[in-house]
Parts: sequence; C-alpha cells; structure tokens
Amino acid sequence: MMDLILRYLFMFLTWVVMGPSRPMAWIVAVTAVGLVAAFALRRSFRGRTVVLLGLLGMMLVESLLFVLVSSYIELLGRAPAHLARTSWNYFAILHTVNLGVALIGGFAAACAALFISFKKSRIGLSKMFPQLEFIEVPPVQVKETVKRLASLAGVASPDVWLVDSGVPSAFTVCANRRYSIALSVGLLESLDDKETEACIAHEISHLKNGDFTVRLLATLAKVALFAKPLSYLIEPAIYRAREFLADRTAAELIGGPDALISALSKIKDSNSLAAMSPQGLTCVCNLSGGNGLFRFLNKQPDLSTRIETLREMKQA
Amino acid sequence: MKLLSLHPRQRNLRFVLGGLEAIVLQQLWETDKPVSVRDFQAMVSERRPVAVTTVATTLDRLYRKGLVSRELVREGGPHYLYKARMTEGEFRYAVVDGVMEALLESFNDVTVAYLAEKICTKRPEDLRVLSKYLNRLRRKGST
Repeated sequence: MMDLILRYLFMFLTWVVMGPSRPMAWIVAVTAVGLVAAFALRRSFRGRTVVLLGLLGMMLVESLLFVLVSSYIELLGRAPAHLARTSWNYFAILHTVNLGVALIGGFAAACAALFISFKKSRIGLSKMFPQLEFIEVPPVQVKETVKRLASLAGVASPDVWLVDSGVPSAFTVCANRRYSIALSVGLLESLDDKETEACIAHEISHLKNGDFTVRLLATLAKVALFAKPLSYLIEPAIYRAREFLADRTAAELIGGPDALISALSKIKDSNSLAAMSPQGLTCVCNLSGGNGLFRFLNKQPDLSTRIETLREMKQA
Repeated sequence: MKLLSLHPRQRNLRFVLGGLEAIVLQQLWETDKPVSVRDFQAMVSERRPVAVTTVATTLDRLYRKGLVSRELVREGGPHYLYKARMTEGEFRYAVVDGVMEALLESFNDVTVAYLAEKICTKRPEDLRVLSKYLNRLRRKGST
C-alpha cells in the first residue's frame, strides 16, 4: 500500500516538474536541488534569478531532448520492448503527446514573443492603458530627478509621464520603443520629495538591472513549458526576486533605504483600496504590492515583506 | 451621478458609501472651499486617523463615482484641489431618486401601495407633508 502511494507521489512530482514526459529521477533530483538553492539564496536576489532561470532552461532542454530522442527511437522502430509491446503501445502514445505538447508550447512562445515585441514597439502608452489618462508635460523638478538618477545609474534617461489619477502609483513601461516612467498625481501629492525620489529610483533600478529582459525570458519560458506546472511557480518567483533587487539597487542609488521604506509604508496604507494597477504585463514594472493570499503565485511581492527586507538591509 | 451600489444593512451615508468615503464626503461638505489632499488629511484625521495616501485614494474613488470634482494645479508640485459636486441635500435627493425610480419602474403597483399604506397608518406626521405636496401639485395642474 505504502509502496503504491509513494509510486503515485513520484509520478505526480514528475508531472509537476516535467509535464507529460517520461518519469526521470535525475531531473526531479536536479529540480529539487535547484528549488532548495533558490530558497537558500533568499538574500541574494541575483543568484536567485540565475538559479530559477537555469531551472527553466533545464526544463526547456529536457523537453526538447526528450522529443528528439523519442522521435529518433520511434522512427527507427526501436521502442523499449516492455513499453511498445503492450496493447496500447504506450511508447507511441507518450511520444505523440510529448511532440504535440512541445510543438504547441513552441508555437505559443513564438506568438507571445511576437505579441510582446509588437506591443513594445508599436503601441503607445495611451493605447496600452486605455483606462488611464496621461498628461504630457511632467513638472520640471520630477524630470530633473529622473535625469539625475538615470545618469547616476548609468542608463539612458526615460520619458516621464504624469498619470491623471489620485491613486498613489508609479510604473515603468516599454512602449513605442521607449522606456517611460509614469507617476500618478496622487503619488506626487501624498509623498514628500525624498519619498518621491525613492520611488523614481526604484523604477530606474528596474532599467538598470535589465528587468524587462529577465521578465521576457521568464515569461517566454513559462509559455513554452505550459504543460509543466512548476513553471507557473518559477516565473512569478523570478518577477518577485527582481522587485526585491530593484528595491536594493534603489536604496544604493539614493544612499540608504529610509526614504524608500517610508514611501512603501505610505503606499501600503492605501494599497488595499487601490483599483488602478496595471499588473502582470511583461512590459510593465509596477510599484504596488500584491495581496497576501496565494503570494507564491503573485508576480508582485507583498509590500510589508519588501519593507521588512529593506529594514534588514539597513541593519546589516 | 453614477448609480451607487447599496448596502441595505447600513444607515445614513453608509447606505450608499463605504465607511471612509462617508467620512471624507461629510468633511468635504463641511469645508466650503476646494482643498488639497494634504490639507484635507489634517481635517479628516480629527475624526479618524488616516494616512495621506488613504485620503488620496478615497477622494479618487469619490471622483470616479462622480460625487466630487477636482482640478489639477501645477504650482508647488502637481496636486489636485477637490470639492464636492453637490450639496448634502442634493446628494440625499439623488440617492432617493435613484432608488425610488428603480422601484417604481420594476414594482410600480406594490411600491405605490406600500408608500400609501406606510404613510397613512404608521407615519401620520409625514401624511401632512405629503398632502401639502399633493395640494401644491394639484393647484399647479389646475392653473
């Protein structure tokens, strides 16, 4: 009985990691090591990103290899006897399913890549967010802060837009082939200058750390690996790690996490009320927090966790 | 004013607004000139301690519901000046109007019968007000 339970548990785990391909112990083991490493690297967000992206890469290579090898075996007609001689020809079914899944995943990823690049290069801000109203000329002071922080971080200065909304919010987006930082009027009117600077530094840090590329890679890998449930956990984990990393970089840019801590605490106060948050898009980095429930599926980390992490950084 | 969602178990302003929205709107009626979020937060905090961001978000919600108007000012950092779009009396009228209009449209006969019965039997003091209205309307109709 115990034996049967364990066997089904292992089959479930392999499905979680590998989707419908053949149970292979070594891949489950490597994945487990990777997940443990990602968990252990809690304070090194760069390392965490590398491990998680590596896991996604390994899963991609594994599915590609499996499809190639099984196609080869199938073409030669040399399926393992104990699989091929069953009345169902288990091997042929497995091969067909895997080939189909891989083709669909590859096609979907290609479509996603086209769609995202189309969105980034051809669609303007106001078309991307039809629910928001953008005001073209931001205040001089904000523009200068953005320029100063961008040159400090060593990135090209992005465009600055004012969002006509009272909800405190800020986000960075790649639209029309240009990076833009959008700040809402509600953010500028309820935060003081230091806190506003911290928010801008967070957004600039996303550009400095190349988060748009990391996000694109993670999302494309997730789309290609749509039949492997583990990828649905890894992708948001990468997004969250980048968010923490941007906090840390921002604190380094402005010389200390205090302003960012107080800005995030203020935003946290109103976050539960806020309806405006363009989340989940590959081309948008957003300042708002995710909710606590199912946080492991959320691409936006909890604001209180971010504040805690910054406090720890201050003490260290 | 957009149609508001109703909370049948709550009374007064809470019947149609969230708790904080009701407090903010009440405070806005008591303030007669347009206010910025920062000034307004100090006023609201006397009733209930709230963060500036919370006040900003609540005012934004009221703006979306069409209950307050705002104007963007650029001097001294961009900020909004909010003011109520209608007086308290106008707001109360609009709420009753919205509810009764829907009731009369959906359940006409029952609503009229209910009003007549309720006012005649349970609230004699309201009957006087009603008959005064009716008389005025009749006079208007005859001339």
